[in-house]
Amino acid sequence: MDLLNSLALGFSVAVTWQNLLYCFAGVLMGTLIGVLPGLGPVTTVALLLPITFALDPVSSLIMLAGIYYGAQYGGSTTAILVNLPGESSSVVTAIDGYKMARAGRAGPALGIAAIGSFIAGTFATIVIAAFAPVLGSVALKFGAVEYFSLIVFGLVASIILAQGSILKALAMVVLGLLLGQVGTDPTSGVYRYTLGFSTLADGISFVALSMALFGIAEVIFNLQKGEERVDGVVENVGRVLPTRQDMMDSAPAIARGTLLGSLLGLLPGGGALLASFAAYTLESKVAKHPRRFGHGDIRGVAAPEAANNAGAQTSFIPMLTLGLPANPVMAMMIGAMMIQGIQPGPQVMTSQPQLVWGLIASMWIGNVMLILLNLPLIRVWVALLKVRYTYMFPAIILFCCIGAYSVHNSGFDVMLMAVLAIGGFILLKLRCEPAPLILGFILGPMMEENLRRALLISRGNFGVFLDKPISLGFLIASALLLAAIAIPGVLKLRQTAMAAQ
Amino acid sequence: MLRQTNLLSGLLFIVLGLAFGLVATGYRFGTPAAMGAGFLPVSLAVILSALGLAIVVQSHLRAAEPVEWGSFWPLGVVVGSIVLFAVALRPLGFAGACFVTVLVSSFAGPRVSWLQRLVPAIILAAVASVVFAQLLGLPVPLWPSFAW
Repeated sequence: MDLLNSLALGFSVAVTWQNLLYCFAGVLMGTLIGVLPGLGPVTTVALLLPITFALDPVSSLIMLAGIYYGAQYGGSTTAILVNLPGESSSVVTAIDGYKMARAGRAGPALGIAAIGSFIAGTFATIVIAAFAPVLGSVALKFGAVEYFSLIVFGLVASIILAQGSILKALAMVVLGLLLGQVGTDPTSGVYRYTLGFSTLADGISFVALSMALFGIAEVIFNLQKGEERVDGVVENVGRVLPTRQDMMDSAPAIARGTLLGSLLGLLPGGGALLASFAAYTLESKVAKHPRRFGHGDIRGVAAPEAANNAGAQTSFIPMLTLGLPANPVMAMMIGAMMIQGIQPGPQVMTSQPQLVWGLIASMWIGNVMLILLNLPLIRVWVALLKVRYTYMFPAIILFCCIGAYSVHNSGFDVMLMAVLAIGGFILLKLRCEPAPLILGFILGPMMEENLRRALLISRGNFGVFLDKPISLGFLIASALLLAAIAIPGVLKLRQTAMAAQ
Repeated sequence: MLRQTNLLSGLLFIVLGLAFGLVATGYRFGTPAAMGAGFLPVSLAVILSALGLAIVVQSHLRAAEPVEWGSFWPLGVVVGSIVLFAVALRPLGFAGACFVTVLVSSFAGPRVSWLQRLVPAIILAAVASVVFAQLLGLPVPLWPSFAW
């Protein structure tokens, strides 16, 4: 009955008129920006992050979560109607979705994506509600030793989906950890890497860094390619509601996609991308007429859409219970929590129940809003698809400037963002992915604190990480993961996934 | 031969590792049981350089992938417009800084007419002023300091 009480608490928080409003605003704005071609959920969340600073912690996280799944759904719309997936997790949706749209079935494709996402979201919300407390209470028993090994595991896992060489992704993690060292050393009070700037004593602004990497550097990269003309927008959407036959075909696909997505979302480094690919592959294996896949099969839309929404939601579990971000969006949620003065970690579950449960309840409400919003507003989204990048990119730059400025009201942070953007651009050109860096940056201070505490208790004996069973388990898991990435079979799956991007 | 992504990124990581490491030698290193401020930075810097070295070695074993730097014009204009925002904020006020940033940054993109640059700049400056300065209460002067 504990669960019911907690959910009741959650709904009592989420169903206040102002939180409903922020949830709605988040879903609406997330979809609005996410629909724009070329803007994925990560960029969308980064751009809209500053709007939430003025709110209280609960409302701001509710709104951010709304922005996230709104953007995710917006990306699917773009994938189906223009074959321009804004983010890698909707790449597979584009395969069959766009074919359906070209064949005059855009409406049912969008409809089934919304319905599949809703079912998956509902299921994932229940999974979160059931598992978060369990995991949270286990995590509370973790000491510094276990925590350090868990963070190592999280960092190793974050490189699974990085493009190109594993070594480069690892180096990006380490670079992120080093950037996280900038600022005042919490133990000795020494200023590290501040280069004489007193404004750097608080460390590099997280918002400036994420906007530089995911906003500005991307803009420069896209501008260099020249404007990609958005061709072949399917404007005739038609009837959105899928037929009975569509529903019957999709139901098992949605169910399998939901289960697979919920599971993969839990893994650090997994989340939506892995989920949608795995679900599509699974469907094409188990389907009765696999040949229809790739030629506008509705199951090829339903399964990955259900999976990526389920994965997006269950990736909140490690974030809420352990303070571990599974992907860059979760890293931003953690950044937002810290800006709001909440220290992420297992204690959040007990010290801020109204925050955690309010957020969980709002996810379900957000999914309802998403479906209510999207079916009637499809035509507006279609119009947005035609916005030219020429008019979009100055707005992105302006939003990044305002965002970087608004955290500390400091022009220095804006300058810092410009410098970091140059670095981000160079790294993009050298084919180094920014996602592992941002996770390293977020987890760096946490890792140092736990490493220090663990070695203080063990009197400098590194063997302590191998002596404790849970810690040893995480380290073995990290080693296995590294080995697995190097095994050809997994390598091939990665390559197909990357090639499709 | 320096125009190769893996080799170049490896070298970059080595240099960054050395730089971070050298600066960190100025902080107390300490012992594992009582780490100084320099313990983790130095260790991480060494790891970064080692990874960089491994990437350099690996780059000789793999097919070369050339770096395509492309035009530096968008980079320069975009970075310039961001710096301009920071500099212009006090003298021009929030609305003015938004306007010049959007206007200047538009030159990073394809050629369009002046009208197509000015209209978005005015609209975005107005929207940003209403949303951030008025609704969200960003503590920043909205108008140029010489206005009144």
